Amino acid sequence: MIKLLLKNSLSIKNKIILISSSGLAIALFMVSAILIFQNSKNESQELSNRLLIQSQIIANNGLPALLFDDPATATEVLAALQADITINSANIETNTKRLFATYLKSTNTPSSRLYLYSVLPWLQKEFSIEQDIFYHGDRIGSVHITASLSQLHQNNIKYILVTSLVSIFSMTLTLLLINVALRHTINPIISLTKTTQKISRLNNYKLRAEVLSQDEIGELARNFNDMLSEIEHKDLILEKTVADRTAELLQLNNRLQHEAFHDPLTGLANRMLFEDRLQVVITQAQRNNLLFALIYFDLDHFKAINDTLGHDTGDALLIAVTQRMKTAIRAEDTLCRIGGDEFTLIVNPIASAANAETVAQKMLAVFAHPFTCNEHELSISSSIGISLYPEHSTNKRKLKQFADIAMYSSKHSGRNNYHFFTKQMDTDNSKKMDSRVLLKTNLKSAVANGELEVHYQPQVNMHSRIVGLEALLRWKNTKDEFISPDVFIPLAEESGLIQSIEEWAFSVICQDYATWQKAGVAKLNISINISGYRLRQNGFTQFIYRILKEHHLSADFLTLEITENDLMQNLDEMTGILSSLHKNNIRIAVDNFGSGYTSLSYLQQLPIDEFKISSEFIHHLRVGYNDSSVINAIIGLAKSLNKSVTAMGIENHEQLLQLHHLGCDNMQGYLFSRPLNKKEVSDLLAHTQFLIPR
Amino acid sequence: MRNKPRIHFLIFLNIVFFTCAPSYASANAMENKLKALYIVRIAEFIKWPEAAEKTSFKICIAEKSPIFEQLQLLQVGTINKHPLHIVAFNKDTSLLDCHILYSEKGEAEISVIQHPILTMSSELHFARQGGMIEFYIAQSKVRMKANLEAFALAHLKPSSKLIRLLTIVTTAEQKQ
Repeated sequence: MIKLLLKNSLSIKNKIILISSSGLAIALFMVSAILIFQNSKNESQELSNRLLIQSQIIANNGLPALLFDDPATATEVLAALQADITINSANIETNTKRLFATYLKSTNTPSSRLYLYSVLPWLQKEFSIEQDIFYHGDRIGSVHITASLSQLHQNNIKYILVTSLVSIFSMTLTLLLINVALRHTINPIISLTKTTQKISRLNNYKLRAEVLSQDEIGELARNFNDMLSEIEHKDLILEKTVADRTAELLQLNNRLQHEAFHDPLTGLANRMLFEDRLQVVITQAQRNNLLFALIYFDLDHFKAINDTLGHDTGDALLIAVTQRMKTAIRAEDTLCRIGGDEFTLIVNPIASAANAETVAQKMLAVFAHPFTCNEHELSISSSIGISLYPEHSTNKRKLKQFADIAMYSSKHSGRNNYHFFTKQMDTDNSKKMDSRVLLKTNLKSAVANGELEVHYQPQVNMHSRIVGLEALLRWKNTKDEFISPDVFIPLAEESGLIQSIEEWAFSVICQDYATWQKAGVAKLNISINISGYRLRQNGFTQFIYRILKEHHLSADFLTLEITENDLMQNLDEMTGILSSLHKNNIRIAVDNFGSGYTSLSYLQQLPIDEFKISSEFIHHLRVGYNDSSVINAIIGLAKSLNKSVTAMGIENHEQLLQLHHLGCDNMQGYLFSRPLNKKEVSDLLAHTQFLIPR
Repeated sequence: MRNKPRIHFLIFLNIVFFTCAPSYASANAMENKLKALYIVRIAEFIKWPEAAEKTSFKICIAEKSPIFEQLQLLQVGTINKHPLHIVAFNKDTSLLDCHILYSEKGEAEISVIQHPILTMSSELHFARQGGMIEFYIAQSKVRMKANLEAFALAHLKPSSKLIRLLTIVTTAEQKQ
């Protein structure tokens, strides 16, 4: 109840008034109740006493009348009770209960009293008292007096009314006094509260609370003002800080926005901005019936420069190319770098296709002179594809696709030229694309359908003894057609299937090797080609160890082949990974050594066990020619670094003899054996440890 | 013819006399009994002067009075805490020791005037003639008349409660 009354929404003033008035009301009620009760009791007692006295007087005065049998005198004695209006009746009885004298009040009961009893019927109406009359100790009669209680009740009601009026008056007066007192006490608090609300609403810390009193509330107001001063001061500092930070953030945002839409290397618009600009240009062209050209550039053989001279040189070349390209375009044209060596140019507007052709020719001219980058003089060309709006399409995606197709057409027709998109190109491209899409789809089910197989090509030493096998993936589709790894491996990499295929292949290899081990085949090395990307992936090395453990194999039969380019990327990370593998007895071979770019200084640091000479070098190996110089250098390098050398792609006896002469350790090629499936290898190994050149 | 009604009247008187005589005697006895009772009770409401205080309370009554017998029958032991003596007086009896003197004909009245003796009698006009309390019959009840002057002369003080019961008469009224 009290919680209900003092609910939080009430103001302090109302709470105090409520508490005070409740307390006062309870106190007044209790005091009034006690007074009324006490008064009623006193009145009753007084009436009782009065009647007792009167009865005693009557008894005393009536005694002679009773003694001398004088009812008339006794009646006169009783008549004296007329003076007491409360007495309704009285009588004197003899000892034998004979009515000796009687008195009955003549006046009628007032209507007010009748009303009282009609309202409060449970009230006692009369009160009687009996007094014995004694003569010499003997009871000779008695006096009976009956008094009306209506007067008593009326007095009580009057008393209740008066008490209530006094209580109400007291309460009103007290509440007025409390109100006045509270006004002086609470008003400063209310003023303070209003100030806080105003500050909160207007967020204005310059406002101050009015100090209306010198008491604790006044002290509170002064402290509050001090606090406001402090907040105002801090607010100013904060505002300045926020303004500074906002400016910084704005600057940072601009920078981030610029970075988000621009290529950090060349400063050109990136793919995102290109997409946006292209959409804007299309909208403008649609609205104004304009023509524009979308030109795609791709630098020819840029990857080779990157691979051979390093990324720094590649980046420097891109910057130089960009600067020169900018000189060949108009200010309103948008030049973008959308990939490694891919650029686009939106030529907007053009009057005809001839304008675009002119730009393309200018661009080709840009590449006419070599670029000097990092002390390298580099000659490079560009393949250009052009699509026209609205001639070729009004659709953004198609315009891009057509420019790309035209660009690839330029590449396929000898590079360093430009082509406008034609419908024939689209048809050819569609066929090609359809074929790739189909192949990708089939590859997904190839693993599950067992269409992929691991074949092994034997490796022999100079004594034709089989020392190892190179594991090679083969895909024979449902039409019994072999699909080259050069075709499906890039597709597997594009579609993300490469991981599951590699894991499957590794598991099969381990299983096959375990089978051969059980069959008692002499110890062999199994070489597996692995990409640098896979090696760097988290958990790949753990995967290798897990599979080996599952087949109860030690790792010393395993040789991981990795290309030079993969080896040199993230050299520090790669060194760590290869060192870890090497410590676990896994051999590391550099695949196609000599065809890529390898820093010789790192060869000593890297835990490499074997160099595999690219079949390209072997292919040109003939007796009496100087083509062997590179192979000789590689073998010499390997020997000096205490690495073994394996030559790949040996197809004839001439090559075999040369390699014998040069001191190559191991050989691999069709001269000894084509890649064999598991059964064939198993049969071979079961019957011989040597392979005679054919 | 003239004597016949007289005889008839005499016969009627005899019948009345013999018929009423027993009831009259009975009423008389009750009256005397009440008077005896009142004589005893009235003493309670009278204050005697200190000089009249004696070791016993004496009611003097003519020895031939029927009330004497009734007083005896009452067997009252004490009055005003003094033992009660009922004295039957005659001509030779000294009445000055009496507290109450009841005389049938007021015969002893003169000798006790101005003495603190409550004089009582059933004789008509007893109070008017200077007696203090006179019994009379009213509405078949024994009632009393009082001469307050006589009380004053005798230095007796009747209680106001008693006075309320009495019919007050004065000597002066008698004289007029």
